[in-house]
Amino acid sequence: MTRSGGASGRRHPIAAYIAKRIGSGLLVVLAEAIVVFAAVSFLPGNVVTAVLGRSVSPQGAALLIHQLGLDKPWPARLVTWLAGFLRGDLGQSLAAHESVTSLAAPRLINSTILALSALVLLIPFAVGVGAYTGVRAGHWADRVLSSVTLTLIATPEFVMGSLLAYIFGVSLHILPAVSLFDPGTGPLGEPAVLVLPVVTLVLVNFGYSARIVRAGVAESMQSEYVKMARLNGIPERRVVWRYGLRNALAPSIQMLALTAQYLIGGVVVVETVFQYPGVGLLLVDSAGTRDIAVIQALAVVLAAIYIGVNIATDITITLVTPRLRTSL
Amino acid sequence: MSAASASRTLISYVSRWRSGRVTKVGVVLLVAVVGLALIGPLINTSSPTAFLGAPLSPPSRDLLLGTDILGRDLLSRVLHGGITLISLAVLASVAGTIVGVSAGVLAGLRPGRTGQVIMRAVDLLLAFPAIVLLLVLATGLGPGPTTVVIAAFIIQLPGAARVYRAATLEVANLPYVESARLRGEHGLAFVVREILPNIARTLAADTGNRFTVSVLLIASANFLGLGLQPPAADWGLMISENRPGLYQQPLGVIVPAVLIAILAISVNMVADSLARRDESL
Amino acid sequence: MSQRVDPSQPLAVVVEGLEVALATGGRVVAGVDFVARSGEVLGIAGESGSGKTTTVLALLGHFAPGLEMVGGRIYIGGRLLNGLSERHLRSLRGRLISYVPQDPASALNPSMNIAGIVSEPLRSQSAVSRETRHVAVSSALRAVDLPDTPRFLRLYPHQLSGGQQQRVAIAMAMVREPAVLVLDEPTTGLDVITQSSVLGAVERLADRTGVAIIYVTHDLSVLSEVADRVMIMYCGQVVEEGPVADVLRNPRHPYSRGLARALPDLHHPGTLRGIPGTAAGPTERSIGCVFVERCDLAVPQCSTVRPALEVLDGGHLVRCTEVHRLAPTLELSEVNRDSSASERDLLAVNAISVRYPTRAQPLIALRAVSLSVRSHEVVAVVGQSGSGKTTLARAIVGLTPPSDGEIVFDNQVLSRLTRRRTPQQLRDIQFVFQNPYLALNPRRRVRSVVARPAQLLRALSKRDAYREADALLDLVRVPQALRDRYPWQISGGERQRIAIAQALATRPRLLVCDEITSALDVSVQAAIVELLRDLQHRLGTALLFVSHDLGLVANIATRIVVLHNGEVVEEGPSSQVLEDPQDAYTKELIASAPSASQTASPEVPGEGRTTR
Repeated sequence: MTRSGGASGRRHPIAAYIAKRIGSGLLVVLAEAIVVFAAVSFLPGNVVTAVLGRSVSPQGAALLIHQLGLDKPWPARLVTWLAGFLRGDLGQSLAAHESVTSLAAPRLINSTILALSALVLLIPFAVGVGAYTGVRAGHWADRVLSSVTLTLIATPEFVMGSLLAYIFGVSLHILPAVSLFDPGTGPLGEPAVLVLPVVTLVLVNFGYSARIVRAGVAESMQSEYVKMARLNGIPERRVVWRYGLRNALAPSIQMLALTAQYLIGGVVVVETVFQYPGVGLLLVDSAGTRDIAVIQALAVVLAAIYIGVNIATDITITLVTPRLRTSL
Repeated sequence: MSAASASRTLISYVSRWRSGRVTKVGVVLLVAVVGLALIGPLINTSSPTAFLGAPLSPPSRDLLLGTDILGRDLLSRVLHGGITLISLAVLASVAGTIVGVSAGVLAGLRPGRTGQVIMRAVDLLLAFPAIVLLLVLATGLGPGPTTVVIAAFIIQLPGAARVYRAATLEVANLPYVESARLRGEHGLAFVVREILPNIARTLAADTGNRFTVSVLLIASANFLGLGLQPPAADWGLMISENRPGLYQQPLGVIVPAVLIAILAISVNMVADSLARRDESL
Repeated sequence: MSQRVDPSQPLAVVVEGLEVALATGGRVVAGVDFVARSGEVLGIAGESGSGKTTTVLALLGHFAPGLEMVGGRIYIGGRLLNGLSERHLRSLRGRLISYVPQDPASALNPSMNIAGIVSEPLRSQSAVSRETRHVAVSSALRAVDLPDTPRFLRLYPHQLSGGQQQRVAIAMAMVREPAVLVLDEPTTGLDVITQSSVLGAVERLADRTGVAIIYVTHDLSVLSEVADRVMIMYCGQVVEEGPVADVLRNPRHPYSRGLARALPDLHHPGTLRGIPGTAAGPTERSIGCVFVERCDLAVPQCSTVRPALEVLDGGHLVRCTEVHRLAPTLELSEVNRDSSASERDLLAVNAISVRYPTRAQPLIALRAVSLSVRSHEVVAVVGQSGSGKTTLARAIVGLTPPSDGEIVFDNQVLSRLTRRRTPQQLRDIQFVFQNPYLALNPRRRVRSVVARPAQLLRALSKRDAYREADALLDLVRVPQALRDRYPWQISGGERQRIAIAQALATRPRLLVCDEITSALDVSVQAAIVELLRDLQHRLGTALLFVSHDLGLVANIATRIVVLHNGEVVEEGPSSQVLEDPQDAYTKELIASAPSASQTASPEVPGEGRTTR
């Protein structure tokens, strides 16, 4: 086996694996799109009365149904909708009278800024605390932090957000309790509106992530290979980093994925608490007004992002764990 | 008190906390909150829906907590606001556990085609962010308490099925279970004698989890306006209703918020210590 | 085996009066003295609870949580360890003394390749240059008969076999050329042939590098191959010590004798005898001789006075006041293999294959295997791990359905799956599992567990089934006191007896035993095998006995079937297979099997030592 032969032979399994995962991911997104469509279209809630009110006349109802294309058979509707997706046409919003794309795009950006800011703070914080407590499992520091994280995990985002809004927004008056700004301009012009929502997201999720990292690190630190390294005189610092932490990488990457996924959901509630004009608030408002097109489109987009994160994590973990990488 | 002795006290307090006192604190809080929710409607002072005063007025002698954004008695609304939340959460978690155990044990015992089908369905549901699923279902079914119970049930079902399937798999291939097969044990008797008692640990830990998740989901749903509708009194709904009046009358938001927090935290504490106690068995 | 130890060699290890106690007060190690010289291999043998692991960890200055050294002195390479700080001890570990734990697979860092693992102890030494490191790694690998090629160095632990993993661990421990190497049960879990190659490597290591090796094990027969001197521990004390040939062929202490009688030896198959009772825990030991409760030579003063170590000739030490009452050499009784099997085939396995479809290529566990068992016969299926013997046993009872072939019992073809067999068929064939700790439902009491099969398959009423259970428990000698308890309250040996009683509750005509003694101590193992022989005689049940231990099997089997890589390579009456094997693999197995009676055999370099 020549050197170049070996290298391209090696490159193939990894590329093949990645392609396979992406392929199956796309299939899942498709399946989910169908589920969303089915849930929204088949369930008994009546769109017409929600949009036009209870005292709608039969002709008015018929007109709306025709307008929304709800009188066509469902397979046709499904196909049109999916085809629209591929073209980039996500449908028309009933409430706002504009295309979903133009409505959602700036909001998606706002939400992404919110989520990324939270993630950027969350990761070092959670990994740091998790690794620290995992290495010192059983110590008083570990127990104190465990109790703190336990409390934080349990507090729902809207409660945490409301309390923070009250403390910092109302009583102390140092931060805005409501993040109002023009959806088009984005929050970066007024960074103060980002603070409380981001802090809420971080506080509520940090405990969960730290615990996962801690569990992975604690398990690694209690392994036989750590014991053997110590008994053979390897310096403790090296044992912690190269033997303990390095082998806890996989569960930590897993944590990252869970966090990212959580944020997708968390963003919805936090935006509602602070009236932050992002995709989450749009989703909630649309659910209230039964704006089917918006719900369908956004649900699928969010689900796709969720799955994308999953796939990226699986691939990273496989590449980082020698045992999995060599079996490709 | 000097800083050193203060920190020493804090440290010893917290370490005592960890050693079993957490459970006691958790249980006490849980009983207090649940008690308030269940007995609240009975101690009724005045109607939770009647307009009794100027909106957002501060506490007075008649209205101990003041009024909410529409001028209703806040105390009365708080007393009435917990029972629906808890009963819906119980309903969703019990249903979730029963179906989750059945699906999970079945998938674990029949890992072939049946198991695969169940797990594919589970994976599909799990691939949705919970809130998105909630919103989609709410759109399809229309808002209301039935919707949120169904949504909470569907959202946690796949997680439960996964947990019980994993627990069953751990047990199903152990020698004593295979030994049972070799003496002809099958069907319900088999599951009841050999499997269920040996996944009891998982059951205990997971039930606590289930309830926590249900409470959070339903409270969030109510907050988002997808569950109980006005003029019903519900802690989650109250937080969103009274938010605009946060500056003038914070109690309308703070009191229900704190109550939900205590409920969720205490359930979590109790569930966590149940899980930890079973680990040492 | 290396030459007789040279007394002019320096003392690498000196231990005086070592005492290690639990926080609650019981002594785990109660007064242990020994020395080891450079180039010597000292074997420390003992069963669970003997204190051997605690003793050797003390040499590293390490104590498990809850244990504390409360007396004695330890010198390693001339340095006194007592009173040194943890930091100081750390600096000595790896340099002066190093350690290799039992399970090689979990002892190596899974995210480091071989080069990284072996060179690790040198990394912290800033004075060592890269080239020096490279040279040291190469020589450490070659010292344990492993390749030092770049390709091998890039591999990760999970890509190596068990034997290779263990040798990599030894290489890592040796790379700084310490004075003392501690090996803690290094070959437990490896099959006999791999074990043989690791032992060979260990022996050569001592010769080549002059390191003093402390080899801890529960398997006495292994020591016959690798050790120069042996020390037998029981309940925290040394009960016998001396040159390996002397101690293993002529054990003088009643416990050592008991062990020797319990040790299966394939060249001298004799009746195995277990030692009755169990070893006392650290807080329940007698103040006199620790073995007094299980000893048949005990006199009243044995319970009150702790015997001192007495020197017999040739450097052989024994801690027993009654030692002179025993004949100096051990008499082993000859085995009486029952050949009253009938002519009819009870079970006929016809060319069954078991295939597991996996992604790349299907894994073939069994390839067209055939065998037969007649009523009253004992057939042993012998093979190493991966040979397919457990798969075969499971296929016969339907737990692992075969992909091809058929199984015929009493002239009826059996269904491949257990759940499709008739109750009569289920009754006739029963199974005993390997792991007694998982073989009984933890939520049911002992009597209920034993009675259940009788209720299900023989339609006995609950009362009759319970009465039957009691009769069976009497048969397997499980005391009354244990019968109302839950399994977790009972020892491994007793649990295995209960599992046997449970299997017999349906009055089976064939009992399939899958490695039923591998998880048990040697003395307990012997008792179980003797019990089976006894039951087989009394009840006339046919036995299919699966094992990796040829010696154990030599004792009980009328016919032996040897499996290798899923195929039958040899088959025949026991005496013929053991004394005159035809197949090359069988010959290799027999040559590699450690045997206590083979200690003083002349050097046979290379034979049976396959280096991989």
